[in-house]
Amino acid sequence: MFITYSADTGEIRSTISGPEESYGALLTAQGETWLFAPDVLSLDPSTSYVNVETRKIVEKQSLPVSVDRLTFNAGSEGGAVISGIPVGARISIMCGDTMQYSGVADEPDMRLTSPVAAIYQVTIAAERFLPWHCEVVAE
Amino acid sequence: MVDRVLRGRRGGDTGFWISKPGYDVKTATIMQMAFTSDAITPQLVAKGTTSISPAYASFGAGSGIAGSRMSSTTISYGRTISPPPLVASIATASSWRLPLNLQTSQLGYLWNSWHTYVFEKYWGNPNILDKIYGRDVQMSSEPGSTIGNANEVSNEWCSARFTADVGTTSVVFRANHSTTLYIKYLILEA
Repeated sequence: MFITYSADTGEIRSTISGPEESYGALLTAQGETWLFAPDVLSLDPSTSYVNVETRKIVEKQSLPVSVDRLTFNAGSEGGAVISGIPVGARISIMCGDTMQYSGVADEPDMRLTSPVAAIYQVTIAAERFLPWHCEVVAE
Repeated sequence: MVDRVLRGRRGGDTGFWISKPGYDVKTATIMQMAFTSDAITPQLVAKGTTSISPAYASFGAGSGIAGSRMSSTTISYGRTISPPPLVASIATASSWRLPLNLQTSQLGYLWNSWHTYVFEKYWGNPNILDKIYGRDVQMSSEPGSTIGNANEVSNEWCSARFTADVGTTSVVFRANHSTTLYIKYLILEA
């Protein structure tokens, strides 16, 4: 199996089984960073990445993110505080089918408040980690 | 009793055949065969999984919105295959939501034609301005109608969540999506 990945982060872009070993020359010509893992029969890119120094396949770990409460009073200033967000992580907050916020974390803590009762789905995605999800309810 | 198994020459061909019950293997048609080595066995070109990160674009003030631009990834075959191979693929993403009202590359299929972008048509409550495709999208006044602008959203609107553009040297997967998309693919040469 050929595995193409980001040279910076190790995020796996593609797995390709079937072509001969000479296929690697094509990937190199295309500017891809890759490795050949003949013993790997299947690999889920969503749960693994490549350590760019050792060129080994590593399982993604859970994000060390926590939320101090899953319900809070709508209209209050307190809200819910999400902590441990890696700087640079992608944050998205959905309410129903509507995206309320999409941005990059510039500090590890985020306070979520709401003027109205609503249910928010928070997703935090960072390289080399499994995405973190939670549902916070403003009552 | 008819002969049903033949290995060797049959007409001008050499191979192995088994006919269905009641049919002579020497004269049976292809539809009367239970097995024939004449059938072409598809050859595996490649299989695997590819991921596509969402493309971001600015949406007025603030940071970029995930999925507001089309993104793509390419899988090369490593050789030329003509005619192009068969590509089967399935995709998963935790969010496919498409921001609307952006004149960017959107994969929208509306009312029998492709559109480069999709407008949200404000019908009913003009104060609703979420600009995001989803359950709250505003419909046009008639299902499937195109009033004034062929890009407006209707009941008939549907999105190509992803496409596989199959060529003779590679396949390009294209999509609009808000979170990382994973596509499992199988490429077979007939």
